[in-house]
Amino acid sequence: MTVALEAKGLARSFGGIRAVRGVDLRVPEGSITAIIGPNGAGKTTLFNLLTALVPPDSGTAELFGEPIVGLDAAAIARRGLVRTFQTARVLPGLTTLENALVGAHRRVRSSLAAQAVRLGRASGEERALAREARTLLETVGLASRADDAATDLPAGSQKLLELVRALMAAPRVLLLDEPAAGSNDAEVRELAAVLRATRDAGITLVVVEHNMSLVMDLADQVVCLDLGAVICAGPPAAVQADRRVIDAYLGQAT
Amino acid sequence: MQQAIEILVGGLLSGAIYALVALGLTLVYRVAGILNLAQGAFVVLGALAFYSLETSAGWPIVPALVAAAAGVAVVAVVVALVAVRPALGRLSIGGILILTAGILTFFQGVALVIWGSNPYAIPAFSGEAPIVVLGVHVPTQGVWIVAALAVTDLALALVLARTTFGKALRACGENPVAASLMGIDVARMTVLAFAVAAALGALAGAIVGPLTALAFDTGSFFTNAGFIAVALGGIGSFLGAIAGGLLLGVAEQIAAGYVSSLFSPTLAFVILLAVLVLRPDGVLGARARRIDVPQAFERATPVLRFGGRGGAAIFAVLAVLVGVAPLVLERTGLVASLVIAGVFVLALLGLDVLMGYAGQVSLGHAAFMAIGAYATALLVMRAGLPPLVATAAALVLTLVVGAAVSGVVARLRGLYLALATLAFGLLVDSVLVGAADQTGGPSGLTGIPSFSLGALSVHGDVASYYLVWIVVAVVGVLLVDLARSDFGRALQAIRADQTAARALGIPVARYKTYAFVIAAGCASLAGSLYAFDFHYLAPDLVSTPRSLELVTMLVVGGQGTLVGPLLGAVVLTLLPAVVQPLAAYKTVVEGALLVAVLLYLPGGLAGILAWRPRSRRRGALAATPAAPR
Repeated sequence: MTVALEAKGLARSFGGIRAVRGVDLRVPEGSITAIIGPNGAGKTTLFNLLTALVPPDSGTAELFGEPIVGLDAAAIARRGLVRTFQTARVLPGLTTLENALVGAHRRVRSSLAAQAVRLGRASGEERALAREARTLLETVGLASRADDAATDLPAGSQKLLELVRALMAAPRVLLLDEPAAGSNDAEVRELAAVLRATRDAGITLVVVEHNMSLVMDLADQVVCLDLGAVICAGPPAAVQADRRVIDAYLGQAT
Repeated sequence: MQQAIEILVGGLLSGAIYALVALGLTLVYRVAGILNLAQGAFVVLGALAFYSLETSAGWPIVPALVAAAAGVAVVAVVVALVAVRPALGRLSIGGILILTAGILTFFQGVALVIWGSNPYAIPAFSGEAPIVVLGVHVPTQGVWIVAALAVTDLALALVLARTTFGKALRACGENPVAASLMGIDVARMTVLAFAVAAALGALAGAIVGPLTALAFDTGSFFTNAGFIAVALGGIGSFLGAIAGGLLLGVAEQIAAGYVSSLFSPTLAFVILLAVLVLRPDGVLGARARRIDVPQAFERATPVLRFGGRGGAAIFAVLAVLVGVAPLVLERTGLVASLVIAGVFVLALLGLDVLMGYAGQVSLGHAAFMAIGAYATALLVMRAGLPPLVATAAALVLTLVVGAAVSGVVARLRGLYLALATLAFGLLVDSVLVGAADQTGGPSGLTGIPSFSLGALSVHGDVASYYLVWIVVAVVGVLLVDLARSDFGRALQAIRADQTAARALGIPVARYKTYAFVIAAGCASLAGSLYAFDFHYLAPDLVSTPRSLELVTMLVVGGQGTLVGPLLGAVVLTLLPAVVQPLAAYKTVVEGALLVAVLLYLPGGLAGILAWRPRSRRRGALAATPAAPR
């Protein structure tokens, strides 16, 4: 089994608050790992450390065996570690389709000169990417709004658009920050299907999520964070039954 | 020794004036987070109003001073209510900076209409004979200046420390959101701050009047001086403003006294650029920190596209129009204006890539035109290079300078970036004036030959027209392709959200440099063509006022479409040529148009023509619940 993403001892403090304190993480290739934990547990900060939006105080991280701590955010994304945000960061001033196409930036091979004169290959590449983006938008039900201003989409659709944008990058590892937040049951089922298809296409997924039924349904591995540290990791059923996880996060069924 | 002391005294006196202007800038910045480039206009309005009251109407000095300051304060209140207040929270920081530049332009135009273009000399308040203290000559007006600075400092300090108004004002400065939650009306405080700052500026103008020649366009000089003082002292600090002003005055006098008066402004701008880039908190490290919520300044960017069949049709019609225009207009004399318009379109295409797509405000774009134009002219005239080779060499030089400038300012964002580009533009202006041996200085460079290629020489308006517009068409097509590819989307992503852009693998700094270099290259070509067409170059033609005019054209035409440059340049160049009575009001109209378009027509003229994605719902930031599918 290849390890897609591995973190050792990642730590980061903000002032006196130790947001992430020595987190170890091992994500096998082609799996779905769910990260759960109460608010303030350090889940989003962990994503920020992995993607260099916030530099870690200490610790290492490797993407398919290559160290990524110290690289800038763009370089990490170009190596195939792509993320979404807790609140969708849809780009204003661009249409839905254009937003999706921005995601493909790391795959574009045409030089600037080729793009300027629209040489055959550049124009073929552009068309192929646009076709791919429209297909993906179709899958999540946004095809009809491809040419609308992306910021005009409702919040739930913006989250889906951000997912499509990340998929357009053809990531090797995809980090999703609460993809189901704000969605209703039907939308969650749809999302689960998309995520499963994504995994089956060979993309490794790490998902921060509060929706426990989605987590239980989807994850191959669950990691529970509390106060910046891993308190439990393992198969979904084992984590769900763990005393510490129940005390810190899930609570007692009454 | 005596000379040294007189230089120092002279420096402190001009520094005191800069400090007064800087205090006004700081006051507004502290309340509203705006650097008000129109402050210099209030200085000049105050001085000219004082002149009219005191010299023409024969009022005594003190009532005339009070009346001038009060009058200008009233004008400032109107400006703040009509133009500034509606912009708060709707325009980006860069947008508001451009807005205040528009207000500056507007009032320079107004002063031109009222007082004409001749400079005025105000008689000294207490006679022309200088006071001699220990053998050092001090002009009597200097006493007035120092007294004015001292009184306003004391008054300001008391108001800020002791009154509720002062406390509210400081609260706005420290955390506008929290201040508004505590029931302080930030917009009203902004209007008040404008009024007080304008009165301060007017007072400064009236009092410095006797020591300097005042004309309708002296306002930008005062704005620049005040802004350098503020940047030196640390933006937002009152003490820093005073110290920065005095420092600037002394540095200038020393440079003028001991080095060269031609290069003393150059020195000031080099210092300024260095401070902005290396020590953005000012040499005193006294910047007051503001806690701004960035979303409050984000405006939903309109999505304007010219795609599809409609776009192709418009393009075809345009191409035909451009092609036949000189044949139709040959007798009207408008072809010459259209050549100049084409030159501006070229410069604006690059500026649109930089500002409209990458979102990087540049207030020094004409400097790249200047480098291209002067380098081309000098290479042809002095080195005898063929025009095409000279143009290419100038282009390479400008690209290198553009890349270097981009590298220097790359870390700056928003306000600081805009100010650094302004400083760069002023620096180039001052070099053009200072290096008089090469450039001909303020009187310019005459006798530049026409463009020629082998035996083929481009003479006359019609030939120039086709040369310029063919270049425009080629560059335009290339840039449109680029803008509609991955490159254009990456730039737009950077403009919209740098964090998201980086998280998608877009190398933000490198792409900003590309945009900068493209902008510089277009401007260089425009400058070369300008030189060949005009046969004459002077710093005025390609200096900071021109940079502001280019920004005006782009904003009026519409940013981020590459169609706006065409509309903005052609409309604003042809308007005064077609409607002759407008010529006298050109500056007023440009300023007013810039302000109006910024406030009420975010897509510019292009926004009217553009195909807009069908949903026109506003309030894009408001999250609406997902509709059931």
